[in-house]
Amino acid sequence: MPETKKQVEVLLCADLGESSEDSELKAVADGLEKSGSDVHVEIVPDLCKQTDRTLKNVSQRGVERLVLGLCSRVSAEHEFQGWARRAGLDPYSFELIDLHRWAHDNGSSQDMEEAVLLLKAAVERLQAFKGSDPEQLKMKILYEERKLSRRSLVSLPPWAYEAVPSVKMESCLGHDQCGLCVDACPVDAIEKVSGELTVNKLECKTCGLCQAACPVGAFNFPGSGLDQYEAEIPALLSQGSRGLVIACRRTGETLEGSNGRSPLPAGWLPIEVPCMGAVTPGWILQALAGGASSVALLSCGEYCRMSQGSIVDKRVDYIQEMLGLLGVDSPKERVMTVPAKSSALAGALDDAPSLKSINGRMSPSDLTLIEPAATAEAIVKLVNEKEAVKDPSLTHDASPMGLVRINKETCTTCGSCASFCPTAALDVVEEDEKLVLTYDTLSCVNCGRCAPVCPESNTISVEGTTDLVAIMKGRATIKEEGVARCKNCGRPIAPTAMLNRIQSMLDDNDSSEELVKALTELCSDCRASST
Amino acid sequence: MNSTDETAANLGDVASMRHKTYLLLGSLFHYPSDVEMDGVAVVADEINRDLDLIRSFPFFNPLNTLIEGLQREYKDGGLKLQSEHVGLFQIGTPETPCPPYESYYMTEGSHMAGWVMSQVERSYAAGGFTMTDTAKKELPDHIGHELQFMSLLCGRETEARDDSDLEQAAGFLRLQRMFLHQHLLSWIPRLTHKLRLVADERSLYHQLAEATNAFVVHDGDFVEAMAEAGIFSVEENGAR
Repeated sequence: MPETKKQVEVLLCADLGESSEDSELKAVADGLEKSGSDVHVEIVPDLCKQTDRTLKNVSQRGVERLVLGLCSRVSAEHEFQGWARRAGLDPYSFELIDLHRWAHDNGSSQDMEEAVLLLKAAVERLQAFKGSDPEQLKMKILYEERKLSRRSLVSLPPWAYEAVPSVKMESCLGHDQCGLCVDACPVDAIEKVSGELTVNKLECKTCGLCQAACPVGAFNFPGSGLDQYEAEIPALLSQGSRGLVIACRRTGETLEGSNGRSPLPAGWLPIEVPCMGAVTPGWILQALAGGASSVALLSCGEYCRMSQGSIVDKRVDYIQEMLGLLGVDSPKERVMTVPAKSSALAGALDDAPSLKSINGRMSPSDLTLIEPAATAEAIVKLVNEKEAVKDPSLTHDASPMGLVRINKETCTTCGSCASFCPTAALDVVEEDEKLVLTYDTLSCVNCGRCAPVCPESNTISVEGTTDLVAIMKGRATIKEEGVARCKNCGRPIAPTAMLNRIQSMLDDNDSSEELVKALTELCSDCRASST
Repeated sequence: MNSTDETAANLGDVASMRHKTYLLLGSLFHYPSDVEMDGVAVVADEINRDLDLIRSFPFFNPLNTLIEGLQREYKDGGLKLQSEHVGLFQIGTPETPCPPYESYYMTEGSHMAGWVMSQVERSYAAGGFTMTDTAKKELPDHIGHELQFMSLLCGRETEARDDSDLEQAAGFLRLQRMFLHQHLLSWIPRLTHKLRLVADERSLYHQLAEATNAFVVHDGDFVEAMAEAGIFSVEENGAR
């Protein structure tokens, strides 16, 4: 049964127009209410100056999700969090949208359309938001200088909270089977406690790399959850061809611009992420496949505190190469990194050629940001538009998926590789008295864990390759092998190929015939009771 | 636009609020005798007066839900609560559903329980406290005792701030931080997780688990944030 959509209230500051009766402002309100989201819009006089009082009134009406369209620079986040909390609202259940550029520019029709899209995207994000727990919030004291005054030793300095991701136990595969998030975390903040993976709040830097690495979407990250971005991106691309600027949270000052004017030219819409390292190739390819004309990445670059600068560059390179293989025009302009200075950003985006989107609009249900499915599905969508290109294959360091090759001659179907595969890309099942080893590149995250555990040499290799033929093939059988049964009790011993291999190794070592028979014809229990 | 001065809270008030909250939570883990429940009701009333301050913190909702639940249970009388307490924390088949002792969670079947208890008692002594004869009816690492120890430390911090003795206040804050990290934070989330699973969702003990986890985890953040902000050390911060 689909979840009921949460009612979202949108409040627009009347100062965005010439008055509360401003026809353009009303057109924005009408456009939003008709956009298909379950939303109620109200134009509020002096909203930006009386936010505290407005929040109290709103919470008394039982509103749980709130978007504020503001005409002036948004107030400090911690102030807003404090007002929201005192009004009984979850601070992550509201979105502040700065629409002042539209107000100052007196609203061209394109600006109005973009204002509606930004508000609509905020509504969709909030409807996808499932709420935060107190345990997910990490307190931080705000102070401008390291040295505090004596007064601050008496009063509690201003403080705010940032959301920390948490593991959803019901979805998590567990450390023994997976643990990809542990490997991905740059500060070792994910620990195994009593058999369960937990995020250490004190160490966590809220970068979101764990969420990006999880193959099953087992993270809950208030304000930066994958489900929220999966709702936001289609909403931003729902009308016409636009560019997306994906901006790292720490470049916020760049997006604010100087003199209160946003540096984003018309036709570019922003999405904020906790760290660019959490943006995998699938995000960008999905956006391009879903109607974005271009995607610009605004990151900290070499100053990234999570040291993701070079990884981001490699991902951009991978995407550009993939687009080239797919025959998409201007790949270097379709996805690019942009400078983190307002004036340079404006120039870079102004200079970007005006490109048509590759594909039509996406439906929200089409979009997944979980790798490697995100990349695979986006490539399939892009290929469908290009009849001439049928089987792109790209080997690249930044490929989010891998390609496993297994030598059928030497593989004994022992299943070791499958037991270490975190995503069950490699899997062994028993069917009709046979063991069947299968592989699905769509689930393969190129972790490389399968290769070193194979007991046979030169049997298994993994490379970072995105291969469309393998993607389209889906799960394929690598090898089928009969199961040898105990001559005494009839229980299964091992795959026949494995026993043959053991026999050949023992024959090479001149082992006694009796030993060979015991190992290859009896199960371990019967073997033990026969000695 | 409202200024941040309106949201500024006096550190003494915050310490006092923490003292009362730890006292409430700790008391609720002890057996709910009539005397105990009378004391709990008084503390709950005092916390109600701090609601405006508590509203600024994310543990407000679970704590408020607990206090409201407590007021209902108090009116209904204690028998139901007493029977629930026994069933959760004292007796169970094949084992007690939710043992309220640190050593149970930190030693997982090994023989180190005594060592854990001695470490806890050492912490009490470092704070200048010893267990009374009445308190000794329970083991030193009982959750009620550990939370009440934090309450006492916060109470001492409040007194120090009232006397403008910031150095002593910083000292008590350091002890709180140490106890949180060496003891409370390493096991209370596991106990509350277990309690949430075994207690009825509508019961007071379920609400107690939610409130305790939210408050203690937040308090760990709070003292860390205070430490990072330099509030622990008076000497490092000159007057302006």
